[in-house]
Amino acid sequence: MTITMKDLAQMVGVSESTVSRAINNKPGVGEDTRDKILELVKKYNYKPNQLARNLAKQETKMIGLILPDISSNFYSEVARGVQDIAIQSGYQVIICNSDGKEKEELSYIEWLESNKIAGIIFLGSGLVNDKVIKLGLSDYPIVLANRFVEDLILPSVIIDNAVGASKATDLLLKSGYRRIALINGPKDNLQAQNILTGYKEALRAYNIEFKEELIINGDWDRDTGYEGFLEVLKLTEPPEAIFAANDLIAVGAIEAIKMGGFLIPEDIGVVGFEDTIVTSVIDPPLTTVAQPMYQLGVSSANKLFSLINEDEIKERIEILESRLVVRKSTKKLI
Amino acid sequence: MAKVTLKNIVKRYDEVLAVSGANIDIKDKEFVVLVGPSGCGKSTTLRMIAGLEEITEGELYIGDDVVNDVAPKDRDIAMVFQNYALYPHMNVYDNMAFGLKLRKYPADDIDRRVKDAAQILGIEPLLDRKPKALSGGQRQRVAMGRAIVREPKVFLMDEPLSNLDAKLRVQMRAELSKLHERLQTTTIYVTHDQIEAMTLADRIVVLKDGVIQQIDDPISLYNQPNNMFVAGFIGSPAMNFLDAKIEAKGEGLVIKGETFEVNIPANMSQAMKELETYVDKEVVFGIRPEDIIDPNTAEGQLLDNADLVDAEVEVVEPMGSEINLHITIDGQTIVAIVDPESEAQVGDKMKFAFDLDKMHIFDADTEEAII
Ligand SMILES: Nc1ncnc2c1ncn2[C@@H]1O[C@H](COP(=O)(O)OP(=O)(O)OP(=O)(O)O)[C@@H](O)[C@H]1O
Ligand SMILES: [Mg+2]
Repeated sequence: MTITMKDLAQMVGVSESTVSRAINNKPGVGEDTRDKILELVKKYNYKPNQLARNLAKQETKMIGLILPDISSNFYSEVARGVQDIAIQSGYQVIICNSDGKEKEELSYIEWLESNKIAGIIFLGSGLVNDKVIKLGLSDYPIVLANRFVEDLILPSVIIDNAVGASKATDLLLKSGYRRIALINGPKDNLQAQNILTGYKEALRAYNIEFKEELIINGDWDRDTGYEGFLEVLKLTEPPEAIFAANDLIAVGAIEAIKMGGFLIPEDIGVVGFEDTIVTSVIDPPLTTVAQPMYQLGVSSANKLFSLINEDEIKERIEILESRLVVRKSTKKLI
Repeated sequence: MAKVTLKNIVKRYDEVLAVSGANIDIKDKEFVVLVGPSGCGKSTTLRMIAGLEEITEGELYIGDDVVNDVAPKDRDIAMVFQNYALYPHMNVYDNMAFGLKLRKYPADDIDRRVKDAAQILGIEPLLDRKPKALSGGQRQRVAMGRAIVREPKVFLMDEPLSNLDAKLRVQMRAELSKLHERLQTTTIYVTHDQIEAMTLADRIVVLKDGVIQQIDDPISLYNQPNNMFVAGFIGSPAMNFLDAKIEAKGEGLVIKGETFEVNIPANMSQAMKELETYVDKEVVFGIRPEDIIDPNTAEGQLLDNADLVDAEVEVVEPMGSEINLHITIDGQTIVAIVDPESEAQVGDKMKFAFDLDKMHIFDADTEEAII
């Protein structure tokens, strides 16, 4: 006996459209009902009309990557990771620069959706907007890379900055530095707060008192590093080491340190955070916490293709840890 | 805090009419539960209130404002779904606080909100822990805490407990009740579990195929269902239905099945009046399992003058404090809840009485309640 969708619908006591939604893994079918339907599908070896399915889907072999700005080193490294995986899977990547603006992001989403793009990766920082939550609820394949959502679980890959910051601080402490200044991003920025958390954690492990005077908040730029160092130099007891919360801040701080005639790492040690191309070309080469940017791209893309291919996802939220890269801006371990 | 009003709300997806003309007035501070079978439109209704689903027709008010075109984030609501996300690398404090941090709330304000919520939820000692060091119930509380710290006007919850095991669900249900008592935030809660609905709700909205069947407080819903659907959906084990006919007999009326006949007591004049127009018509007689009386163990006046009905015992299910008997009357199997002392055995021929004060009679065609 060949069984039709109508038969299945009658057996379960639901409408045909519900059966179709259950089979195609679309929303709006409760788990119990879905299970019941899928059980019958298996039992009667029901085969939906494959051609009709493909026609209805008709997705292009393209995925979207929405990010703030591809000209940033960080984002271009991530994009490279995404693209390498996409190519392997026979897909192209459409890169959309939103400049971190919600309005831009919304119009990209609309465009990507209406052009039957197979899925979207949202890369950046901060909370996603409501439209992304809607997409998530509709089971359209999306992955969040370093972005957050409050109300529900969406497939995400996130770099744990607190752990990285704690590793950086710990390295300075291990190398014998005790008074460590943290030149950080804006005070109300979550990334900066996470870095501060990690910094404090490492101090606590060494029983070193936290000193507010050693924390400088500014922007994520070179000026902040430069001015920040001059600022802590004014303290009655200047720091022995600088933890710079990103590479540009580190570059600025190193300039200021050299201008002051101090030696790195003998007089003052410096640790950076990020590890973009910048850090290996400055002198001395920067010891830094390498953020797994490429890996962030790879993991996000892998997750997205699992969703597109309807494979099972192992971890809905995957956390990546940073890795310490020891170069010449810190003293040898004692 | 705010009232929420749905005026003729319709949701259409291409050919599917998911919600048809919903009218619901939710009062400030009220706990309203949307309940109904799978696919009846509960989630769709909730998502329209949240702004996560467009409203096809009708008006939605939060407070006194029409919010049809207001973005979700500006509606001042917080949602809790079944799949709540806790970030494994953040401790409990940050799992509640990160949204406020990302929205750049002042640090001392965040701290106050998180500590207040933690206190209300009894998770203060856990603030430094990571999610993997929490039990399922504790995690659920943290997810709830994330909604609480937003101090929204309205909570919207879509089956938030359905991922928990049965025991934990019962416990969290009680906690949700307490939580609502403390916070008094207007709450709209979706479940397909009628027991959850009965225990949590100030009022319940029963939905079927996108149509509201009844809006009432739990007791009224139980005692005065509008129709057979509500009667059968609310209550466990469900209300029994027997096909019957109303017939005139002397001065009074009787409810007549193939093998049973019960007289409607003369003192039930209101019922008598309603049923007069149904004489010689088909009806459905509804009686809840606990309103079927086993004369062997029952006491009191209920049995004086009661008509007894013949039945055969099909299944005996001891439930501890009571026994569920599956009995056949007129070839239809129904359930009766009897005293644990009952010695009924499978195959026994027994007589039962109905507590007619609690009976329901439905129009066989429209399935609407007559009494
Ligand atoms: N995105 C959609 N497109 C088309 N139809 C949909 C969509 N979402 C839901 N539906 C349909 O709308 C109806 C109501 O769905 P809804 O999800 O509101 O049900 P529900 O009461 O929440 O059920 P459950 O208890 O299974 O969660 C169903 O028939 C469903 O198939
Ligand atoms: Mg639902």
